[in-house]
Amino acid sequence: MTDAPPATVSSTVAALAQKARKVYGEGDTQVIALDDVDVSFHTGKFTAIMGPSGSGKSTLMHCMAGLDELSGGNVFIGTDDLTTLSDKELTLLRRDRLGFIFQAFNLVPTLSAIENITLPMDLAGVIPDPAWLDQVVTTVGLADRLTHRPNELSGGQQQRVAVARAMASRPDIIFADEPTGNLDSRTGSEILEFMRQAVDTLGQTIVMVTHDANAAAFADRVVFLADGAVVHRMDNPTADDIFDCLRRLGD
Amino acid sequence: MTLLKLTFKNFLANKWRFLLTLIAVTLGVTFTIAVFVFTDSMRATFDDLSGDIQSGFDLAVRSELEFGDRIESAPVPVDVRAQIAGIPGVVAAQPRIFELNVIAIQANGEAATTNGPPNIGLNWETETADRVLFVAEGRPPDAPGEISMDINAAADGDFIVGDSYNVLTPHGTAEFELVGTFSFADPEESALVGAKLIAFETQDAVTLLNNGEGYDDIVVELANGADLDLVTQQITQALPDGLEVVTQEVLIDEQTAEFDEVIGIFQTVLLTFAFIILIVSAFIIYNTFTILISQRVREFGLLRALGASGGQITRSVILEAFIVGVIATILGIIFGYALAIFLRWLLAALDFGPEGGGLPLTPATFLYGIFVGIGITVVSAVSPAIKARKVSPMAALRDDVRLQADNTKHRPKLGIGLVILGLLIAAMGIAGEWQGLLVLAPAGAGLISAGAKRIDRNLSRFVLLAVGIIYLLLSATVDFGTGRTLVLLGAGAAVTFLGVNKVSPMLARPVASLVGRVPTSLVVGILGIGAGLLTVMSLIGVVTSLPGSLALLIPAAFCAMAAWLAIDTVPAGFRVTGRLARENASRNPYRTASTAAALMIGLALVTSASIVGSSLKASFSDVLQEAVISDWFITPPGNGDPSQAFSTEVAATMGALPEIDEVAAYRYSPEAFSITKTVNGETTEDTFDGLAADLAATDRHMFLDYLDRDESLIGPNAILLHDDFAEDRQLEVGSTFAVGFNDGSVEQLTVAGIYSDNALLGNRVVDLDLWNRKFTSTTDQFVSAIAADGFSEEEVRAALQSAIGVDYPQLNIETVDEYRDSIASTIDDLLIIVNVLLGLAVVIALVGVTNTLALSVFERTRELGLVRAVGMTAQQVRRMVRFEGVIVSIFGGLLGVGLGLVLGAIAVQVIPDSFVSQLDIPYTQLVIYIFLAAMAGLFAAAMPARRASKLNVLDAISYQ
Repeated sequence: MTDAPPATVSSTVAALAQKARKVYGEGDTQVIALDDVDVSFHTGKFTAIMGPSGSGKSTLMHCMAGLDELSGGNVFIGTDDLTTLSDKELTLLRRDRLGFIFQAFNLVPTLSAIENITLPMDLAGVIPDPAWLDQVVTTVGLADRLTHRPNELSGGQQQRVAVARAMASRPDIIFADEPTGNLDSRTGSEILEFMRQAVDTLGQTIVMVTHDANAAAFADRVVFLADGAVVHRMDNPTADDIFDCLRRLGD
Repeated sequence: MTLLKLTFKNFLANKWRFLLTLIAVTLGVTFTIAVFVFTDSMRATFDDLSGDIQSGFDLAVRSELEFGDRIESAPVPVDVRAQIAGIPGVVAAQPRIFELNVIAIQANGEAATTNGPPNIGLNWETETADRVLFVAEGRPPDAPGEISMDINAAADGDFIVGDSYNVLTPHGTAEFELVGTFSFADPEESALVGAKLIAFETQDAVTLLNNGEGYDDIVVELANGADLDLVTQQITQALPDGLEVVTQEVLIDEQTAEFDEVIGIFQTVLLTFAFIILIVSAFIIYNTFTILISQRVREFGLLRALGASGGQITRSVILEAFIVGVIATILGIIFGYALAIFLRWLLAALDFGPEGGGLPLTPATFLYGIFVGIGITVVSAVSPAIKARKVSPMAALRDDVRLQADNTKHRPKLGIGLVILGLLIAAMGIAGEWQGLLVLAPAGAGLISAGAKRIDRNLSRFVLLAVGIIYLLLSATVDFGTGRTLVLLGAGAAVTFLGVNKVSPMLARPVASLVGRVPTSLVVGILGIGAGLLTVMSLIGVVTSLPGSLALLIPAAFCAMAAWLAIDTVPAGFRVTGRLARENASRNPYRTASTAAALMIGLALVTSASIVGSSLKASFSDVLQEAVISDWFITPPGNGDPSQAFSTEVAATMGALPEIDEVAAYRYSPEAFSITKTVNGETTEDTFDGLAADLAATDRHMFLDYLDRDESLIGPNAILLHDDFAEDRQLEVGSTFAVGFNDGSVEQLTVAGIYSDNALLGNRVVDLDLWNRKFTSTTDQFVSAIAADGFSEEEVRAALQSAIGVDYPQLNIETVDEYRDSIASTIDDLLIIVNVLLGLAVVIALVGVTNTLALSVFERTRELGLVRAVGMTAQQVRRMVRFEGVIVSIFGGLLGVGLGLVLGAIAVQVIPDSFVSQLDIPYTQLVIYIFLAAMAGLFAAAMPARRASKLNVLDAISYQ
């Protein structure tokens, strides 16, 4: 069920894991979260990672995003091997080339919406491209909410700000960790629409971890994980296909 | 029981959070304990010394003394001794002579002075069997021209037995042969407390130390089995008028009381600083508990939902405070004891106090430690604990919960009652004695504030500040007498501190956003470098007396700090990290304000001390400019200390120099005159200090700015009075009034002049002629001289140096300008000591800043995780937290320096004009203080910043 690992890093691959291994604990209490995972995420595609609890999907994303360290193997963002980078280099890579959307607590409470959106660029000391910023803000429909603080925004609006922040610096790849987990299904769908739109019209690359089949159905491709290994891939999925697959995996 | 278990569990789970609270309390306890242990030990040492000094006899015969210092009493005639010795039952009658400021000159020409304890001259005992002096080397002095010296003094000054040395006595300087050394009180080890002793043969001592007129006292040893009362009676009958017999116990008690007075002052000063430190600690403890509780609101909500009562929650919080208090008290007692040992070692090393001896840890000291450590901690935690009680069970279920603000009920009638009661109590305090004022003024303010809160909550926030300001204004404008006005000023300051603390949360946001803005951070940076350079320049000036490397090290360190501050804050100010720091500092204004308040108190006190010191210098400099006509001043070390007075031979020698036109000598006693005052038929008698000068010559040396005078009245029984005293006593030029002296005699003195400038000569000046008749001590306090025409300053200096500088190496020979500078540097030295002690309060306040930041960082774990995830570097995190520390500290610094300016200015106003007549504000210093506050904030934030930057990003994001 697995691809053969590519011999060279393809230019159409935005991120890649090679024999990625993550082990927690030692001896009897040892848990293998990632068991030599090989997976690649293609530029301009929306990929969902699915799997039951404890399958290693969040660990995979954290390691690919430079938030966590592998125990073995390599992960690449573009052509950069993250396992060779220092903590500072990883931070700068996250700041300049990656975007993040988390399940909750996505925004800095003391900054306004627009300040949250430009935060990574402000940290870098880079002046945002106004035209692009405008486009991103319009895409997520926040133009009239920019000066509000997070506590003055609804959960859906907060998450839209998070999406805008992730896109604002034109990252190579956006990692989203259960981005709709805290939202009702209607608001969740809106967010997913924005993400879909970002991929289709702006050519953004997105990797999303989710356990929601309906959410995963927005993706171009779904990668299924179980017990720390990739067990299945599915292109252009529908929600029903995903349900079926999950049911089979659960058996 | 469950609750107790929970408390302990919580305590163990949050060890590091409590550690920070612990530090604050421990520091407070440590200082208090150290003060008590140290002063107790000093007292014990000096009690022993009193016993040693007054030992070896049963009775003493001495002249009666109406008031004042025993050293100024009339001598006991020489022939009395033989009379006493002849009385049955008397085994020995030992005359004693004791004089201060007898100093030997070392072989290298330097005076062998102490750093504070007295230089004493005395006679060698020959009669009594029970000795105080024990020969260590050589033999006792038994002929005129011979001396013996205590072994420590001999060793310190490299004096060699058999050699001859010059010795300064009230009789002048002469050469003596050192025939031996001795140890005091204990044959093995000299039990002197830093004092230096020189012993003479008795007859020689009478001549040199007592002007040939007799003994200070005669101590009497009785035969075994002699009846004390009977012998006392017989001696009394044999004595001429004016002499009395006292027992050894009386002398010991007098001696002890004399020492205790000094130690008491010392203790009061130290305790004042300990008190300030405790107030600052209380702020920190209160703050920490408030933050801890607000962080645990959800936990309390859960406990409440599970059935815990509000009372149980409150008790568990107070129990936690109690545990912190107990641990801090134990640590504080241990550290305090260690600090006391260190203090004693330090003072002994500086030749300033006792070495060795026990360090008593009395039950009272323990009680104070427990009161301070446990009491203050628990009391500080009460208000947060009561807030914790009001947490609703719903808090467990909601996401964004805050502690409810204080919800005092609106009860106008009770409120008005409280306000009226408060006003009455405050008025009673102001009308009464200062002790009452100290308690009643703050209590009244508290009641008024509590009452106002029940009438109108918003308005009440300003009430405490308003009351504080009213107190301050009252003390500045109304004269209640210096003592009471100063107490009112102190009470006003305390109330104002609390008032500012109530109002300052409103300032936190504007100040934080002002301080945090880009231009301000630039200004801070530039200011930092500027202050650094300024300090370099001023320190190079001040510190040249220090060893060279140190003189360079201090400014270099300062510059490095300034550079660090500039590097750290300027980029942060430009970036979003600065914006975040600013927002963080103002997101919880109460927290920021009370953190800053602790710093504010410390800095306000440092600032007002600096203003008073600087005004003192300016006033003194002014006075010298206006009041002094003469060219030269001869002063002893420790200016103004009557025990440092010197021989009249100095003035006589100077007068004979061709380079000197005229010399004026001044004598002084802190308790010279007894003057009665009758008001409404009630007669009170008070003793006053007084100065003696040659009244006929004074005008050529000093400009007194006479309001009225009659030169024809100048004579032996004339007195010059300052305007204030004359007005108080309703005296005018030509009035005659009765003045009592310490031998019991009374003279009628005539007012010959009333003057208005009294900084150098005090309030009462009599003629030297009267002084010589009435006082036994004939040493000069200081001498002024007018140079003869045609000699340059250097020629006069050289002449004075060779005429008196060799024989009296301890004296300062200075021009008026040099004299002013040395007074200024004395004030500076004092200010440094005061500021070091106040600096302790500032250091503790900084522990508070660290505390608050550490807790805030903890609280913002998830937020830090988020910003780290989206690309904030570890360095940027550190800068953000450090910049927040700088903002909070500058906030405290601005409040403190601002308040200190007001307090200092009022203090200058309150202090009598004879000390401080002119307000001088050291602006450069104030700017440096604010800079130092910013700098200190950077240091205080270093640890929390490091913690924040080392958070694991993944853990932080998923932190609940």
